[in-house]
Parts: sequence; structure tokens; C-alpha cells
Amino acid sequence: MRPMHGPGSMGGPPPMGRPHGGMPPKPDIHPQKAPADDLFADDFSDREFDLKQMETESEEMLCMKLLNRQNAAFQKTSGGGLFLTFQDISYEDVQLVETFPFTDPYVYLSVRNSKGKKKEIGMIADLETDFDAGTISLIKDYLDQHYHMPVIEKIVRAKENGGYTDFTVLTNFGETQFSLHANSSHITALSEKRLIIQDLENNRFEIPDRNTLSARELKMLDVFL
Amino acid sequence: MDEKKKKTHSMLRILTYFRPYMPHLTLMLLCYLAIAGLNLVWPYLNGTVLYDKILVKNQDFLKKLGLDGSAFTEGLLLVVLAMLATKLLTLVFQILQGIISACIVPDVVSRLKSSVFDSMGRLSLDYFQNSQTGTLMTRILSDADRVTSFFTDILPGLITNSFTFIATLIIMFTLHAKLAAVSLCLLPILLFLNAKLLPRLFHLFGNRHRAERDMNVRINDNITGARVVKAFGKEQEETRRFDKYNSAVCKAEMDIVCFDNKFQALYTFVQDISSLAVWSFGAYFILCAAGSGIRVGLLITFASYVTQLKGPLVFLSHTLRVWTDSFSSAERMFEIIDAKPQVTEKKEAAPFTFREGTIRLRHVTFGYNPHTPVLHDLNLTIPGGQMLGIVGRSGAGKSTLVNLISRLYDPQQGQILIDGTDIADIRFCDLRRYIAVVSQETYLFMGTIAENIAYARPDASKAEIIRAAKLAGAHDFICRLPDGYETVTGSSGKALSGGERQRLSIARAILADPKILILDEATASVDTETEKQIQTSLEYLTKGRTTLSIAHRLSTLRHADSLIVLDHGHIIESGTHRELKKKRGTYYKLLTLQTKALAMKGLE
Repeated sequence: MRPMHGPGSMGGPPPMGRPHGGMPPKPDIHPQKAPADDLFADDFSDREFDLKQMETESEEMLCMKLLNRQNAAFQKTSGGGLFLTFQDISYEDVQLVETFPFTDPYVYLSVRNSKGKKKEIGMIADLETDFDAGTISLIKDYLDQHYHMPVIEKIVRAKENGGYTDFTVLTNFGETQFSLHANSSHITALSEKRLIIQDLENNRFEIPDRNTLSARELKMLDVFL
Repeated sequence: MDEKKKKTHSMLRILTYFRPYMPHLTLMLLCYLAIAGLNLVWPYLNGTVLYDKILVKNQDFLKKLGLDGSAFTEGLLLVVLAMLATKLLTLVFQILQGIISACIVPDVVSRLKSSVFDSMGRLSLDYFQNSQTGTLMTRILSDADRVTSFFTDILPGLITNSFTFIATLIIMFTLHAKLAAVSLCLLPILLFLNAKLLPRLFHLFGNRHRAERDMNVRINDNITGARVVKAFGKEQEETRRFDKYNSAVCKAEMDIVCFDNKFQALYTFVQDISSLAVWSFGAYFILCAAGSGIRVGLLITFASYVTQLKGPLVFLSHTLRVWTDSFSSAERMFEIIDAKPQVTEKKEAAPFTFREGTIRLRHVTFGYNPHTPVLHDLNLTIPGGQMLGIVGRSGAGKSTLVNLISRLYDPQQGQILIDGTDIADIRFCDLRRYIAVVSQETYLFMGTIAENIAYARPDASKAEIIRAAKLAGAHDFICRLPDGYETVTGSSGKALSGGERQRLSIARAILADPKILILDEATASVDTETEKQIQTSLEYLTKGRTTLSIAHRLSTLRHADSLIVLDHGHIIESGTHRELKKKRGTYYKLLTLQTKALAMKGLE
């Protein structure tokens, strides 16, 4: 997906000015608009809302900073993290979040500061078109580590264990085990074929096409579907 | 329309759903008839041909088959092959009929359910508020199945069983009239008892429907109110209450089964007596009346036909029962399909072009019960792009007022105009496009967060969804979720807090980009801290839009261009905050009370 707007910002607020209608004839109730500064002047004396600050926050929220090869550079840190230079500001050990991890893992990546409130620094609208091959590879490696999702090739066995079911599966990374609770929604059907399993420890496993599973394997999953 | 005509009318209407499948139905009927015909052939081959032709070495019969007079083994082989072919053909026709049925039934059931669901979508809000959810769900889920099963299982069966019954009788009378008469001697008694017992059975079916409906309502209540049940520790009491309804369903089922068993026993008894009579008289004829024309094979054939009569007779009685059950369901479905919505779109409603968004109420009077008005002769103008704060005690008519502007209800008197056009003259699609509501009841549908934000605009791009979420202050918490915008929410999805849900509902409204915004206690269900954050998003959302905001917390109305105070459906005060405060009326009292209450809680 390509960004809809140019780099630096996206979208904009609706018209700020309020159109004014004419005064209605009596007996309609149509109070005059009061100057904003006078409103709640004494009743809300502690000024719980700072209007200027709120406007600034609104504008900040509205603004979506987009990172691309012109304004951002990523480097790998010695600890395996990512170092970012964006608009001449350096950020150590930034975090990347996939906002659409299942359907479009490389679009609208949220780049976040790892310190403090972990505020968003900006977003990568489309990794594969907005950066060079080296950066793409660097970021994909990072994402592969942080969004490790083995693909289940075979369900070896499922064993009921006091309200939990222990699965032994064969994945593209080898054989592994995970547990699911009998009464929870652990499996998300992303399409008629594609399933995502989230185990009790929040690990994710993918079944790209449930139709490739045997009847015996489907039977083991059936209670969770 | 009397009851009988109503049922016939419902039947004809249901038939229209089968219209696309007329060739399939014809083929299915032919299959049924073929099966019935083959069932008639089997006893003849099994009895008369095998015993009276082959085993007695009837040479004339062999010659008719084109065989030599002494080729009995070949004759026997031919009869066995014919019997095998009969069974195989029966199987083929049964499979074919099953395949055709599998093509028709799911589609018709699906279209019937869609019709009911579609009709429910057209109905006004008052219909849903006056109906129990469990009852409506029963109508969509169960009734369509019951209606369709009559046409696919019962009706063809009725035709073929009638055919089998008549054909069997003709064959029996052709083979031996006296023996046929003996076998039917108890039939009039059976028909008489049938007519006497059926009304009782109709009543039992009605009991079962009512019991199932009550139980569905109870289940629905418990699922939706699970939190309240747990909070008050009423699990055991609820189980007891459920048991009561469950027992009622169980009893209703048992009553039907007991009664059905009486029917079955009666039919079986009559059939057994008839068989006994046939065997006795047949044996007597063979032993004592050599000229009667009865042989062992014929007697076996006859006994098979008498047994075969039981099927159609039982089926006919079953048909009468299912007919009543199915058409009760059909009537309940058509009751929804035919229900007239209270709020309708005028046929002549022209496309509406929104200008500045001025809303004007002229002498509006409305009551959910027309004799008890909730709003009385309201006159009000909200200039385009301005924000009106609506204040008042519970039950003053605040939500009713905004419901009228959304045209969820129509006023009994007066007019509501948007940009000078009566909203009754605006097409629903235009009205819904221009008005969005953010209320304290934030409903998230089963689906991803992205789908929920894009509910009003499913074609929205990912960029637009993210932008709306950012403006609603939802983007950060969404990014903290492991699946981001693809986190599944709704009844069985990820549980979100009240504030998070509210932000998603604001994002939904931002993406819808309405010209008129209704905030109905939008921050009532969140804590003060979250309210402040959400308020920032609402500030943005209300910019440039005509906004009606209802709030108990008067602080949230601080930006309102004007305020009205509603009491018992009347506007008792109006003006700006400053004007109302100076007036020292109801608004002032509410303001003072709230300030004191908040101060006591240490929140202000």
C-alpha cells in the first residue's frame, strides 16, 4: 500500500471555522454564542482543561510523521536493536510495531521510542518501497525476531490435561509444544483457510491453509475452532 | 383473514421461495415416485413370482420370459437379478433424491433467514425495544428450518405415500378383492381415532414452541447479563430458573413423544391385526377353499403389501402434525417480514445535499406511547457548525430529542428540519451519512479493530483508519496490542476497557466524517482521567460540525455554544453557560450540586 499523502504528514483537520446560520425567528430558542474565554470562567476555576495544550495535543495526534529513505536512517546496534536518525534527531534502540501483522506486515510500521512513554516517533508507510534494500533487510530481520510466528506443518498429538490441551506440533522450525485453555478463544480465523493460534504464553503459530490438515489433525483442533 | 386462509396464504408464499428450484423439485418428485413404484414391485417379485411361478415350476411363466420350459435355474437367476436391480435402482433414486434435496434445502433456508433478517433491518427501533431478543433469534434460526423441512421432507413424501397407498390398494384388490377387503376392515376405526386425537397434538406442539421460546429468552438473558449474575452471586438461582424453563421444554417434548407413541402403538396394533387377519383368512382359503385362487406366494405378497400400507398411514398422520408445526413457524416469520416499520422512507424522497447543517425543531411533540408525550411542543434552532449542550435530569427527554433528530422515531406532531428540509423528506442513506452518534453504549462487532473503526466506511484505506484512530487517541493503545489493528474484538474477542472501546467508537465516528454529530453521554462510562483524554478527541471531532451533546457532567459541555435545560419534555432554560448561571435556575442548581459532589469526592 502506498501512503496517501506526502512524507512528513498525512491528512488534515476538517475546516476549523464554523459556518454561522442566521438567527431564527421567535419563539425559537436560539441563544447567542458567548465569547469562549468567558465560558466557565469561575465554575471551573481550576481550569482542568488547558485549551491551548489540548489544541497542541490534537495537532500532534493528527500529524502522522512518515519515515522514508530521505529523512530516516536505521542502523543495527551492538545489542541487536535498531538505532534511528530521523530529521536530525537520534533515537537509541527504537521499537518497531507491525500494525497489520497478519495481512500486511510491512505497511504502516509504527516506529516508537523505547524509553519513557514509548511515544511514536513516526510510521513507515510501506517498508518495501520507502527504503533501500539494506534497510529493508535490517528491518525485516528485526521484525522476524520480534514477530516470530512458526508455521504449523503437522499436528502430532493433542492431550487433554485438566482443562488445558497440550499440543505437540511440527513447525517449519521443528517440533514444539504449546498449551491452550479449553474455554478460551485461542484461534483466530483470518480467512476461511488461514488460522492463527495464540497459546497460553501469547506465542503465535500460523496454519496457512487448514484444508491441508488431515481429518485427524482437524479433529484435534475442532474444539477450539 | 381467517386462520385457515392465513395458513394457506403462508403456504403459497413459502412456495415462491422454491420457484427457482422447480426443475429440481420435479426431478425429486419423480425420484420419490420411482422409489414408491419399486417398493411395490419388490413384494410381487418376492412373493408371487418367486413362490407361485418359479418354485412351483410354472412353465408358462418361463416361456413368457423367453426361456425354455425346463430352464428353472435360469428363471430363478433372472428373478434374483430383477430383485437385485429393484434394490439397486431404489438406492440410486434415494441417493439422487438426497443430492437434490441437499441442493435445495440450505439455499431456501438461507433465503428465508435472509428475508427475515432483512425485514428486521428495515424495522424501526421501537420494534426491537418491544421484542425479546431470544424470541427474534428463534424466529430467524429455527422457524426457517421447520418451514423448509415441510416442503422438502413432508410434501414430496406426502405425494409419494399417497401414491403408494392408492397403488397398493389397487394392486391388493386386483390380486384378491376379498383378502384386500379383510386387510382394510379396521381402517375406518383408525381414521376416526386419528381425527379425534389430532387436535390435542396441535395443542402440544404449541406448548413446545412456547416453552422453547421462553427458554431461549432465559438463555439470552443469562449470556448478555452474565456479569450482573456473577456480581450478585445469582448463579445457582439462575440455574434453578433455567431448570424450570428447561423442564417445561422437556415436559412439552415428553408430552409430544408420549402422544406420538400412542399414535404409533395404535397404528402398529391395527396393522398387526390386519396382518393377522390376512394370514388367517389366507391360510383358511388355502386349506379349505381350493377354488379361492390363493397360493402361498400370493399370501406372502399380500402380507408384504399390508405391511407396506403401514408406512403411508403413519406418514399421513405425521404429515398433519408437521403441517401445523411448520405453518405456525411460517406465520411467525411472515409476521416479521410483513411488519410495517414505524419510520419509513418516502418514495418521493429526493437526494439531499447538506449545506451548513442547521437543525430546526418546530412544535415537536413525541411520546413512545402517543398518549404520554415525552417531549412537548419543542421549538429549537441549532445553527450549522455550532454545538448545543443538552442538560436535564434523567427521564427529561434528552436522548429522545436526539433520537428524533437521527429519525429513529418520528414525532407525533411538528417537524424537524435540516437546512430547511423536513427530515421525513430526506432519504435514509443521506440522513445516516450525515449524522453520527457517539453514545455511552459502545458496541464493538465481532471483527478486527480495523473493521470496527471502518464500520461506517468499509472501503476506508489503512491510512484513513490509522488517522482516525490517532485522532481518537486510540492509536497508541492499539499499537500496544500484539495483533495491532488486526486484534479481534467483539463478543468472543479481546476484552477492551471502557475507555478503549469509547475511543474506538470515536474513531468510527471520525472516519464516518458526519456533518451532524450527536454525543449522548459519550464519556459517562469512563473515569475522569480517561474522560479528559477522550475530551481532547471530542474537541477535534466537533470542530466544524453541528453537534448535540448530552452530558450529566456539565464540565464536558464547556465548549457548547449554547445550552438548553430540559425538564419533563419542556425546554425550561436556554442560553449560554454564563446566562444560565446568572439566571440561578435549574442549570445553576445542577451546576452547584455537581461541583459540590465532585469536590466531596476530591475529584475537582
